[in-house]
Amino acid sequence: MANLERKSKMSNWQFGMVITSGLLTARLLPTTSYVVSYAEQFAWFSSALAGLIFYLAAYLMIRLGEQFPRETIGEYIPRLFGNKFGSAVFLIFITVLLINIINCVTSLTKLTTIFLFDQTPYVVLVLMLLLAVVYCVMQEWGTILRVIQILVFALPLLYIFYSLIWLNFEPLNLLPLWPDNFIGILRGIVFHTAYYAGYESLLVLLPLARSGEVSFARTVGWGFLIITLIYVIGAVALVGGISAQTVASVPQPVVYAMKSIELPGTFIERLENYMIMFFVPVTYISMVISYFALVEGCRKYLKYNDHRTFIPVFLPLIFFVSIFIDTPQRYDAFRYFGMYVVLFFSFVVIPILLFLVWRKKGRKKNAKRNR
Amino acid sequence: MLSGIDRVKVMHVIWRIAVILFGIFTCLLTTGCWDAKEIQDRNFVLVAAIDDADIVEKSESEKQKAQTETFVQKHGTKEYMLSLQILKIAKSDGKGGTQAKNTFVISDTGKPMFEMVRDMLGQSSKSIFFEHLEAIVISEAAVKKSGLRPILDFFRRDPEMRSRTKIFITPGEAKAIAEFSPPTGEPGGLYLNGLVRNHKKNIHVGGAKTDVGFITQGMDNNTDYAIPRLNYIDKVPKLGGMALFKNDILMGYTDEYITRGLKFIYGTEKSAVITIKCPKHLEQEIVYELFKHDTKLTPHIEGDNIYFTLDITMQGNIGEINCAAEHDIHDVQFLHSIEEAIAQEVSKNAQDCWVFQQDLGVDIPNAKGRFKAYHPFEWKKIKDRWDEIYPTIPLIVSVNVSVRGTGEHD
Repeated sequence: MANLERKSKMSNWQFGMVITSGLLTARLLPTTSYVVSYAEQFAWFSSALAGLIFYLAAYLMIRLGEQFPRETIGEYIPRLFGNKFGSAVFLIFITVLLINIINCVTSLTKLTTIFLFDQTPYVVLVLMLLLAVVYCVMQEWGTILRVIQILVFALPLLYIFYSLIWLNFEPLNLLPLWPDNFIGILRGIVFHTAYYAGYESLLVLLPLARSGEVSFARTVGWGFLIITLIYVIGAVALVGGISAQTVASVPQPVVYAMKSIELPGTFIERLENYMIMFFVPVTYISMVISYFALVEGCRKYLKYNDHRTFIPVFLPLIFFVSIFIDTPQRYDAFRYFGMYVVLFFSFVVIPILLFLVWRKKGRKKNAKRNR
Repeated sequence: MLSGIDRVKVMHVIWRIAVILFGIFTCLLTTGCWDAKEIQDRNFVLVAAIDDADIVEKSESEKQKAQTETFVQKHGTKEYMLSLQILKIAKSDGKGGTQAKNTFVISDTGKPMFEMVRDMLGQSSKSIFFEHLEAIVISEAAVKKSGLRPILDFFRRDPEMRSRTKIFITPGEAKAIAEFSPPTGEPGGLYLNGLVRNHKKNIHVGGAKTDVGFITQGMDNNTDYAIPRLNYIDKVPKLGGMALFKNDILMGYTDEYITRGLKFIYGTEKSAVITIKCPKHLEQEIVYELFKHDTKLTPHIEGDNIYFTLDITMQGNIGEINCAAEHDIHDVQFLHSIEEAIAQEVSKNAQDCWVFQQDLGVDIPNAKGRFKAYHPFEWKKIKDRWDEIYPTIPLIVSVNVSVRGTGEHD
C-alpha cells in the first residue's frame, strides 16, 4: 500500500484540479439571488465575464508565485518589502482564507439546517463540520490530496442532479437575448466572489506542485473554464426554469428550483435532498484546501516544522464567528465584508505586489548589466 | 529492560482496545439520526382547505364546535377557517373495506395560516406534516376577502411545502371538499390531485402551470394567472373552468368553452377531443381526437399597430361520428372538409377566448411578457400605457389541422 504521508508534492495537473475543485461551494447558493437581482436573465453573461475576471486574478497570483518557486507568500513578501508591509499582506491573505472557510461553514450549515436536519441545533452542525475538516487538515498533504481526488467525484454527480432543472425550462424566461442592463451585469460580477471561492490558496500550494511541460496557468485555466461553463449553463437552466424574478425572490433559488422538479413514473422524489448531500463533499473540499493553506502558510511564515500546530489557533475563531453571524443582518454584513476583502486582495494587493516584484527584479537585472 | 518493553506493549494493547471500544460505542449510540421521526409519528396533511370564517354556514352545534376550534387572539381578526385533511396511518377496522374513511379533518379559525396550524396541534396528538400536501382548496369568499397572496404566503414560505402542490378555487365551501371521501376509497387529497393530472386529456380543465410553483412565479413576475375551478354540489366534486387572477385579485371565471380556447392558445393538451358539426349533416357531430398540438403566440409591430399571431398545428384522429347516415371517410374531400371545420372551430374559440380576456382585463397567455421579450425597446416606450393598449390588440389565428387516422372501424 502506498504511503500517502510521504507524498508531499503534486503534479501540475493535480494542482489545477485542487484549485478548481475548491471553487464551487455551497456559498454560491444564497448568493445566486443577489447575482440575478442585478443581472436579471443575463446572470449567465455575468458568470461568463466573472469567470474571465477571476481567472485573471488567479493568473496574476500564479505569475507572482512563479517568481519564487519554492516559497509561499508568507516567506517572500516580508523578505522583499520588509516585515511590516509583509505582515500586513500576510494578514490580509489569511483573512481571505478565513472568510472562505467561515462562509463555507455558515452556508452549508444553514442549508442543512433548513432542509435536512431541522431539529438539530445550528451550533452542533457547525461543530461537527469543523471537526471533520480539522481531521482531514491534520493529515499530510499526500493524504489530503487523495481525499480531494476521491471527493471531487461528487461534483459531476451534483451537476447531474442539478441538470434536472432543465425539465422546467421555458425559453421565454431568458428573453430578450440582447443585454440592455450592463450596469446590472457588472454588479452581478462582484458577487461572484462566492462562485470562485478560495483560489487564493494557490499562493501557498504552488511550491507543493512540480512544474511540468504544461504551465500552472494552463492547468488552472482549464479548471476555471470548466467551472465557468458549469456556472453559465447552470444560470441559463435556473433562470429558464423558474424565471429571474423568482430567483431573485427566494433565498435558496437552486434548492427552490430543484423542489419544483417532478419525475413522473419514478420512485425518486425530494430531489433537492440529494443535491444538498452532494454539496457537502464539494464544499468540504474547499474548506479543507483553505484551512490547509492557512495553517501551512502560517507554518512557513513563522518557520515552524509542523502545520498541525496552527490548526487549533484558528478553530475557535472560525467557530465563534460562524455562530455569531447566524442572523440575516450579520450574515449579510459578513458577506459584504468578505466580498470586499477578497476583491481588494485579488485586484488591488496582488497586482501591486506583482508590479513591485517585477520592478525589483528589473532593477536587479539592470544593475547586473551595468556592472 | 524486558519488563519495560512489556509495559509498552501492554499499554499499546490497552490503547488499541480503548480505541476499538470507543468506536463500537460511538456507532451504537449514534446509529440513525438522533432527531429522526417515524412515519407513524406524523400527521400527513393531504388537503388544506381555506374558507372565509364568517361565511361558512353553521348549525348551532357547529357554531359551538367552531368556538372550540380556535384560540384567543391578541392581534388580527378571525378572517379565515383553515381545515386540514389528514391521512389516517393506522389500519382501518376493515368493516367498510375500501369505503372506510381513511382521512379525517380538523379545523381552526384565525388569520395567519401558520398560527392556525400550530393551534391545531391542540387537536392533534402528532406533529402536522405538510411535505405530502396534495391540494390546496380555497373558497371564492376567502379569496375575495383580501386576495390570494396572504392566503398562499405560508404555503410559499415554509420549507416543508412543495412547489407542485395543486391549487383549486371553489365557489362553495372548501371545508366540505376536504371532508369528501372519494368512492374509489383513495384519500381525498390524492383524488383531487389526480383530477388535475388528467388535464391533458380533458380540454375543459386547465391544469398546466396552475400549481403553487407556477402561481408563485406569476406573483413574482407580476403576471396574471389562472387556477382550476372546483365545484362541489351534493357531495359530487367536478373540475371545470378556471378562476382568473390579476394582481392577486379574482377577476372572474372562465367556462369550459373559454378554458378550451385558453388551452388552444397555450397548447397544453395532449389527447383532448374537439367536437364539430358534421359538414354534411349540420345537426350531427364529429369528434376529433387530438394527439399532437403545437402553438406559437408571437407579437408583431407594424408602424404604430401592435398585433399578435397565433400559429396552431394539430394532428389527430377521427374519434367518433354521430351521423346516422354513413360517410365515406376515405373520401379526401370529406376529410379536408372536416379539417377545415376543425380549424374554423379552433380559430373561433381562440379568438373568443382572447376577446374574453381583453374584456375582463386579464392576460393569462402572458402577452405582456412576450411583447417585452420580443420587442424590448418598443416595450420601454409603451410599458406605462400597456393596460390601455392591451384590450385593443388583435389576434390573428392560423390553424393547420391534419387528420392522421379514422379509427378502428369505418
